[in-house]
Amino acid sequence: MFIVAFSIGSLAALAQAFLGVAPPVAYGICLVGHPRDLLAWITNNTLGIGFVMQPVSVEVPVLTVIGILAGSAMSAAQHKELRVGKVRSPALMFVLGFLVANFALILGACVLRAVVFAAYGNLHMIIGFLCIVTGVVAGVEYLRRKGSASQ
Amino acid sequence: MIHALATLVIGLVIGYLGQRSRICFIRGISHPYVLRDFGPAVALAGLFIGSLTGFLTFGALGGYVPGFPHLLETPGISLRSPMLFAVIGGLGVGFFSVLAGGCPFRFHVMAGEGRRAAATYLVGFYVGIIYFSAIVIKVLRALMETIG
Repeated sequence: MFIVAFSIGSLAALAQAFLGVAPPVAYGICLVGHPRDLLAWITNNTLGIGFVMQPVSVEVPVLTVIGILAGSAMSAAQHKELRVGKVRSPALMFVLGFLVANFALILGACVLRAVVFAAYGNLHMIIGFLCIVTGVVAGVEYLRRKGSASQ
Repeated sequence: MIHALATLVIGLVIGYLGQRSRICFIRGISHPYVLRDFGPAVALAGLFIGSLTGFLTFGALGGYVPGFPHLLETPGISLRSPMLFAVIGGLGVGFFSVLAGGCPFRFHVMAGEGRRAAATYLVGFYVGIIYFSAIVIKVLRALMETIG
């Protein structure tokens, strides 16, 4: 797992340093900024709306999300791990996705980019990452109390 | 154009690696806290060290790494709205990601595997992005003008 994560971090740095995925800095991989840019590019070019996007995506958008979905599907198909599964509470999953996207855009990064940006030495993102850790601890405690209350 | 192709290829690679390793950066925080299992936390360390090594190496090779490392020269450093947004955003991402059961990267990978729960999460995620772009960003701008 260390090697996979190390590779992802190195690829994020490579994307910025030599492959033109900048500005902004530390934006080589972002699972909220890149889909925002793609959606903004599509809506701006089809509906003429002026949604904000990062400078790197103004001419041609970043396509990381499409790559991840395709790469994961290829791997799952190759290893016979494609599975549909059940959704226990679709409304809850929808709302949680909605909330995570909004808070991540307020922060300006997903968890992955927050770590890459913290490695870039950005003090705002170091604080942001510490707050993510605090939020995770608060979430775990909330689930524990909810679980013990329901018992 | 090269950046679009680059991100597509990088996405393919990390999507493949993410599916094989089942890596999740929220689990890297929650598992050490809940289960005292520090295995998933290795992913966070690997990501940080990989990024840092990459920026140092590619910067030395003449790559584009302006202002690295930011530290005390972080652009727009302020204890007002940028820090407030970092705190609110970070707390919200951490809290609601735990309730959802993973980080956005993990959910993208699971959606690629065909899981309906992850696909439902992503529909909400993308609707959330559009809602932010249309409405929340205007509120944040007004807030920034008010508090500086």
